Order: sequence, then structure tokens, then C-alpha cells
Amino acid sequence: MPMLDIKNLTLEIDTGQGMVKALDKVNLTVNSGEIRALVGESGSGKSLIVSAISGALPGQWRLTADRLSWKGESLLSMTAEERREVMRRDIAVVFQNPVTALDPSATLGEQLEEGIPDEFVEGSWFWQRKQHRKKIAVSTVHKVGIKYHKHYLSAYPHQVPTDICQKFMIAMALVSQPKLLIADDPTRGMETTTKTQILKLFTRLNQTKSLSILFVSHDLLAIASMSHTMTVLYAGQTVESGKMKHLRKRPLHPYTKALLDSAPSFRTNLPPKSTLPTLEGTIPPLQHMPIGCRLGPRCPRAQRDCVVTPVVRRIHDHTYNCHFPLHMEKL
Amino acid sequence: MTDVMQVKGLTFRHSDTKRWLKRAEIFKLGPIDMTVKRGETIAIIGENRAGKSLLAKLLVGALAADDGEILLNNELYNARVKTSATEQSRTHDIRMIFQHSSEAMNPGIPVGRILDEPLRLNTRLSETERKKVIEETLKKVGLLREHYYYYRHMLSDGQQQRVALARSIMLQPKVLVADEPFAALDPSIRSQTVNLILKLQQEMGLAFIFISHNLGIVRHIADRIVVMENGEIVESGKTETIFRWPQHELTKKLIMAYQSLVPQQTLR
Repeated sequence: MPMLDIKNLTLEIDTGQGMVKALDKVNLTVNSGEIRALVGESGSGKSLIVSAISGALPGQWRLTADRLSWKGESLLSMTAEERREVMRRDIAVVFQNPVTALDPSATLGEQLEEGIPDEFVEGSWFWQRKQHRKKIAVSTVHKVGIKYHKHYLSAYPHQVPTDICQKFMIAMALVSQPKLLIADDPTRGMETTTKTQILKLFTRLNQTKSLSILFVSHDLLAIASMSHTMTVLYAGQTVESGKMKHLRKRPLHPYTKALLDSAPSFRTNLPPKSTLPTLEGTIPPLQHMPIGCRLGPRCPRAQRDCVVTPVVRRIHDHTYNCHFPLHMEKL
Repeated sequence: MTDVMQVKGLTFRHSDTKRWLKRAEIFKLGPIDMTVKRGETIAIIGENRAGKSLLAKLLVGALAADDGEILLNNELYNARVKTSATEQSRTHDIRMIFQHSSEAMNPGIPVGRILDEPLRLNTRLSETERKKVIEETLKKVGLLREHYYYYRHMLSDGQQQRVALARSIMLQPKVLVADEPFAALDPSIRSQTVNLILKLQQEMGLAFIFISHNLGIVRHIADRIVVMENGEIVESGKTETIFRWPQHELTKKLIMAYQSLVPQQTLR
């Protein structure tokens, strides 16, 4: 049963020259106990989806969806209180830029302790509760791999290096023991050793506590090592979605293939210093989105039909949006 | 192959004792010895706070070293004493690409003037000659001549990276130093940049020293790897040797962490 179910999510932004669809009919589901990767380059709307789920979008943007539900309850028709309750207890979000997402005027310890739900805290007297709260904070901080808790819990965000801040955001997300963790680029700018540590933590939480994770990133190496399923986004459109295994073995959309090819680590037979295969051009800016399939101008297999937005096609649980997928002969 | 650059006993000491109400913070870099051959790619890897960026800055002379010397094209350059004459020849032969290429550009002036600055300050070319050189360089990095009049905010990430690259090869350097040139880029733009650098290296015989956390790319383009820890080089060698038979603890840790992410690859 899907926990988070999104169907045809469309987000329209007023750019001054009319409304632009920043997200165009995005489909995404996260089943319980799975790690779903959401892949896309910058400007593909990954973070917008995260904000749409968490309800942090500005009011003047128009959000429409056929379905945006959490465990069968529509998030869009909920009252603000109910939605806040869901966000507080069931869904936790690690935002992209940790230094700006943290409160600069409070110490990290205060911010973390504030996030602990009351029912986790034992003790009937306030000093006991305070002690226990502190204990929870320290153990959570240790769990994400921060060693010097004494120093960091009493520090302000600007005094702390970025990678510690990042880990701290993860700690803050985990302290309320959520069912779903949305991690928006949690490993950005981390060195490989720290990254593997964080990925191992995610995998362990997923296995022991059956925590579902929506892992938003463009670090394919990290994604391939841990996630079960993957959804690829390009310029606000879902491109391909399916099991990690299938996508890696046989991508159907030209963009997925280009993305996988761009990581030299995936290819063992690549001679050193050879030119990497790439797509021509750059990601289109929001004001100049191509019509139809947005990959169109950059796609090596583009034909005239590509000016019409492709519909979702499906092979078992592998869905793709392309008129001329890679398993079809070129016309 | 000839040595373009030789670094001998380069040292840098950082001590914060002078600031009041602050504990002394002591960080020592070096002594660093390394040689760079013509057309060679060297990757510097290591954990955070290992002094990688500092080393890059010392190499290009953005910071003055406390001790040691750098030889560029067999021309002695003492990193400690700066005379204007040696500096002049030095700035032509070694250039740097900064970590955040977009933030390292002046938003108030167009790309043409950004690229014009190194030429105006270091050469005696006339204005028309300079413009010609800039247009050629823009084409070389895969941009259009019209980009001369563009401002920073009008360019995409990949284009900004190309401008940063254009600025650094403006004076026909022999050595290019880059601090995490690929970290902030998206996968497809990243491979474009990698291809571009490989192409420029072939054309101009550039030596390229870069810092990266992305060991996949390091393995792909680097000839040699330098591993740093706490301001010292703990291991250096050929790329394949380091990846297959890492000797030092830290190298082992980094390589293991990388290999554990790479799917379907047996550890040797």
C-alpha cells in the first residue's frame, strides 16, 4: 500500500509573463518500508515537490493534483491543524541548505530538544524531564555520527561546519521517529567517508524501523547503492520510474540513459581520459520551457511527435514518458 | 615529459595567537614536495580540513607561504618573498578556478570585461587585439561570441563554469589549479565540463591540478593522486596503483568508502 501517493501534481508559478508550469503532471508514490530515490538535475523541481508535500509553498502559486494523499487521506483537503500534525509526527523533512534552514538565534541543542515530542520524555518532575530530554538529544546526535556532542549542542549554527549542520538536520528529522523521511540532497558537499556513514544510517533505519525514505538527490552513486526504486525528473516532468535494478539494467528513456552514462563510476569498461557521453545544451530556464516533452531540444532521438507531451506508458511496474523509448527501433 | 612545476618543502603555518579572547589555533601545512609534468592531471583528495584548498591557494600564490620554494619552468620562484618581477611571470603560467565559479565573478560587469581584466593587467595588447583574444577563447570553451555582452545572471551554471574556465586559460597558462570544479554542477553539465577540460588539455598541453571528493571522476581523468591528511601528503602515486593497492590508512578508508558505493565491482 502506498504511504505517500502523488498523482498528476501540477504547480503553476506566475513569472510575470503568464503562468508557467514548474511541475507538470508529476507522479510519485512511496510505499511503506521502501527507499525511493527522486533524481533530477537542478531546476527539475525536486525541491518543489518536497515543499509541496510539506506544504511550504507560497500561497500565490497554484497547486493542483489529482491525488496528494498520505495513508489514504488527502493532504490538500486537510485543515491546517491536521496537516501540521501529520508533518510533525509522520513525515520529517531534511531541507537542502542546512545552515539557512536552522534557526541562527538558538543553539543546536535547544533546537533539537524542541523537536522531541512530549510523549517520548519520561519523568514526572520538570528536572527529570529536562534530563531525559537532554539524554534523548545526545543519543540522537550520536546516532548520526556527531562525536563531540557537548561542544556542538551548545553551539550556534554559524559556528558549526556545514557537514555537521547537515548531520544535525538529519538528527532533528529523526528525533520525532517519523514514518517517512524526506531527505533533500542530504549528502551534498560531503566527503565520501561521511557520505557512506549517512547512507549506512539510512539503510539501517530502513531495515530496523521500516522507515520509508524519499531520497532526493542527483548523486547517482549514493542512490544506486541504497535505494530500491527510483523516479527520474527532468524540468518538472516525470521521465521514468521503476525499480532501481531495472532502470540501471535497461533504461527506457534517453534522459535516464544519459544520466546514468554521465557517472563514470558505473562503467567499468570506460578507458581513462576518454570523452564522456553527454547531452548537448543546458537545462532550460523556467521562462523558456519547451512545449511537449521538455527534453525535446536536447534529445538525440527527438522526432516531430515530441512537441506533444507524451503520456505515461507502463511495462509491469516500470513507467516511462517517451514517444520513442530506447527499446523501440528508431523510426 | 618535462617538469613544468616543482614544489620543494612548501610550508605554511597558521596560528591565531594574535587575536585576543580566542584560543590559539595552530595548523601547519607541509612540508610539501611534488613535481608536475607537462599535460599531467593530478588529483588532490582527502577529508575536510586536510589543507587541500590551502595547498591549492599556496600553489597559485593567492596566499604567501612561510617557507619553501616553487620552480615554474625551471624559473625559481620563492614563495616567501614576493618581488613584482617574479610575480609577473608567475601569474601567466599558473591560474586557478575557484570552487563556486558563479560567486567568483563580478555580477556588475559583463563577461567580456571579466575576461578582459587579466589581459589588461598582464599584457600590452591593444583593445582590439584583446577583444579578438577573448572571442577566440570564448569559442574555445564552447560559448558564443555574443556572450561577450552577457552578465553573470544571464548564464546557466554550465555556462558560468565555462566562463570561469575561459578566464583561467586567458593568459595561456601551463598549469591550472581548480578547487572542486565539479562539485556544484549537475551530472550532465559535469560531464560536459570534464570533456571540455580533457579537450583543452590535449590542445594546450595544460597541467591540471584539482581537488575533488568525487572519486569516480578522479579515477577517470587523473594521472596521479595525492592524498592529504592534516596538512601533509600521506600518499601519492599513479591513479590505478592508489585505487588497487592503497597503502595508508586514510587512503584505504576513502577507497573502501568509494568502492562500497560502486555496484557490482569486486574488491581486489
